[in-house]
Amino acid sequence: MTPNRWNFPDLGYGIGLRSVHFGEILETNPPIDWFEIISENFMDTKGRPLYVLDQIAERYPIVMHGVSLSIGSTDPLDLEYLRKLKELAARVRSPWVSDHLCWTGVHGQNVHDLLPMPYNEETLRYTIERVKAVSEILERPLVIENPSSYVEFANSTMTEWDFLARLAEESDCGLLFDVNNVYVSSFNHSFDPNLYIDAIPHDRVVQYHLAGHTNKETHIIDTHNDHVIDQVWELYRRSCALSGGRSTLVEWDDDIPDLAVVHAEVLKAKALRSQTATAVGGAHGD
Amino acid sequence: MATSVALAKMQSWMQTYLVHFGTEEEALSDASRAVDTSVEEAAQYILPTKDLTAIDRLEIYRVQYLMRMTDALKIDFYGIVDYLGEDDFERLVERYVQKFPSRNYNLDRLSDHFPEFILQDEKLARREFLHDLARLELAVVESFAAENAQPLAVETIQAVPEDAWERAVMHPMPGFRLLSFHYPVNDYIQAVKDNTPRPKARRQHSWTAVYRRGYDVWRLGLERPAYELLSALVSGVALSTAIDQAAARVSKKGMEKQIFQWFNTWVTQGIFQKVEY
Repeated sequence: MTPNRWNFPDLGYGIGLRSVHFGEILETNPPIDWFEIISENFMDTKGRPLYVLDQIAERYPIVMHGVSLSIGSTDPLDLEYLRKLKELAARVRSPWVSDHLCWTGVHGQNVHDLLPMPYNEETLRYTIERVKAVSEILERPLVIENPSSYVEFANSTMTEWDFLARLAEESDCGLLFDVNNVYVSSFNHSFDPNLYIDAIPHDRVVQYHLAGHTNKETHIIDTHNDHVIDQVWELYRRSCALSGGRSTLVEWDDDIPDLAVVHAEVLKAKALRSQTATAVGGAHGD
Repeated sequence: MATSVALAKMQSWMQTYLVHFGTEEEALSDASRAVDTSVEEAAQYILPTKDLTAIDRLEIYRVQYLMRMTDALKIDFYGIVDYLGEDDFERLVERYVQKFPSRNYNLDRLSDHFPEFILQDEKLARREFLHDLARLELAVVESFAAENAQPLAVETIQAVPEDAWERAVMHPMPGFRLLSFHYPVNDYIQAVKDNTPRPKARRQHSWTAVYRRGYDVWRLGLERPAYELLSALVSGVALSTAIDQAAARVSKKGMEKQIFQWFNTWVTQGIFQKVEY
């Protein structure tokens, strides 16, 4: 197994914390290893969501995952946002804080979407500086997630995986590797997802995301509304063979089923990873 | 940190396109104008695929933008959705986010200007009714997110010395909101929740207190004298003065008992946080 660069703990198999499951989690203490929260959902509220989060944080590890950092935006960094992010991270003892390689708006506006960037030297240099600045403010390495995207820019001069690998190395950030996003983008942009998997610096991967999506035939939308498909499981297995496995989480954000269904989905990852470990161990043993 | 000019230009262009509610041609034209470039040149920023043109690909984001904004507001303003229907609500959201786009990392804050926009929106029929409805729904949202605090205990009230009541001032809980309306919107919201026949949107004054007990938000319909007394109390008027003012406005008969009942209800419902004297 390749340890991650910061020795962040392997938290096991978690699910995204969603309000429809609050009651059941508090009442039944399900045997889920950890939960991931959408940071922005808890940064301003002083009501029930924060009350529930505090209770769940007493019982389970919590990891914060944001959607509004807008690391790729040409707007200045929002320092008030970062202050609150850091405050929440301390409150829930989040071992790392992640967000996406994307921009969410400019000119002070937020379109609340994870918009892609052109991948070239200019945007790489710019993003590296922003990641470094955020890590310094948060006083911990920022963990960046590969996005799913529906457009490609004519002025991109490198692949997303090359961009991400260089960003991670040169800004010293961690990676949240969303295997479903790799699959979605590979379909939308016609590349071989295995190339992406193999090119990622696995010592920098600290977490995996898995999710379902919606295939519109001409393109795939990253809807997080269904089970993980077999091809994505295969990509996950391939990546785990390279990384040795990391904290893994299933995201389910639309048509959210019972907690048990989401939990069962992430436990498939556990089974797959133990098979991978056995296979890898066997190969070395022989 | 140096800002990338090419990146800035691309982002301005793309955002202008994505938040545009006109035709593809209009959106493309406005987006190009925003970055002072030609439509033909800007259209080449995005690569096509074998199945989709560059604009088809951009449209995926543009469609999602309106859906996301509509879904966010639908959750908070389900009474408005009920009255207008899904399609008219979506058109309202289109007009709203053009004037008040989200400027906060928190999508919940998109609701902030919705009531004031409704009052100004000339394309909307029954604006005053919908404005009242939106104000009530926004108050519930604000109460839900408000700071938590310990409500005033009945024992604390009982411990206030008799001679202190004259100068005693009541402080409401952080999640408390007191509203006066031109329409019976609390009844309307309740009918939506209960799925019972909706009351007519006829002009008729009504008053509602919105408050949080624990982490649950409640709406309490009030009569005018109760509203005025509560309004005076939460604005810092001393208890005895507020009661005198309220008593002067209504028939004296039975007033004392009535005021005691109101006050008792408000205390037991957890509307007050503390009494200062």
